[in-house]
Amino acid sequence: MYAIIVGCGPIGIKVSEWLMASGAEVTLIEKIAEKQKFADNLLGSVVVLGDGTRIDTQDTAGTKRADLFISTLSSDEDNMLACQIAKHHFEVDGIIAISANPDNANLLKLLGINIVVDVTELITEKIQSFVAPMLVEDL
Amino acid sequence: MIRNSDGNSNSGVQRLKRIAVIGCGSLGTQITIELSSSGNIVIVLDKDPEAFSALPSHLLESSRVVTAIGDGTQEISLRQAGVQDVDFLIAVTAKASVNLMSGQLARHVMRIPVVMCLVNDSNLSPMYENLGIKVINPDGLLMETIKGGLD
Repeated sequence: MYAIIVGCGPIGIKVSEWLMASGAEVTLIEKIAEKQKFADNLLGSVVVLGDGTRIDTQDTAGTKRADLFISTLSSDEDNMLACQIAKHHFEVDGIIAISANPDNANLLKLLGINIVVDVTELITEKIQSFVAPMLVEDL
Repeated sequence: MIRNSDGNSNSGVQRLKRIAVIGCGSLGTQITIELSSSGNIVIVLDKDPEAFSALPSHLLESSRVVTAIGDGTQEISLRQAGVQDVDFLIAVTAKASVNLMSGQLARHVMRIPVVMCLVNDSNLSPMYENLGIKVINPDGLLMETIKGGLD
């Protein structure tokens, strides 16, 4: 399995570590030089410096032969663009995007992104699961 | 009203076009002025209320130009601005990904017939043309003009 991860934030790094430990080959893409250097040292020379929303950068990272493409950028529109390039230009089958705004999740799915991880919903659910028992205790 | 054999209006008056412009920077402002001055109704959307300051007051007073504050990548903002009823949408913010998200929302969710997006990266044009979006690529247009000048 060959995976491309766009964005070297905490999510990009954690997911990469897990994928590598599971035996996958991983290449990351990071636009900010400092973050690229940090992740490259941490993970072992697997981080391409460049803009993941550009065809040339994705080409350098080897997106053509990827089985899985995960975009973990903070802006939904950048994740959309990165994923659409991977899907339509490089014809990657497995596409995953994180989305900060629940209102965008349906649009991203409609635009062909297989799996949209709705971060806001996940966090809300987690908080609810902690708080709900406290509410019951109050009764 | 007289109707011709096609069932269309035959009054000789062309129906006013309703146009949405996403992003009121210098290009968005220019497009809004141009298209509203030639008789169309233009809805112009920007996140920043200050962005509308370069629009001439006579166009705003005549209601040819309707300004709306909102995020062009959000369906709710587009609907609040009345964008669902336009014939034509042009997304010209400074960020290509914003233009493409706004444009695809307009084209594929709101079913707006014609959608154009400003995209600086010419490599992206064929892909988005295939996805039903008309792409305006400034570098490409500039190169065509330069080549034209050399002939």
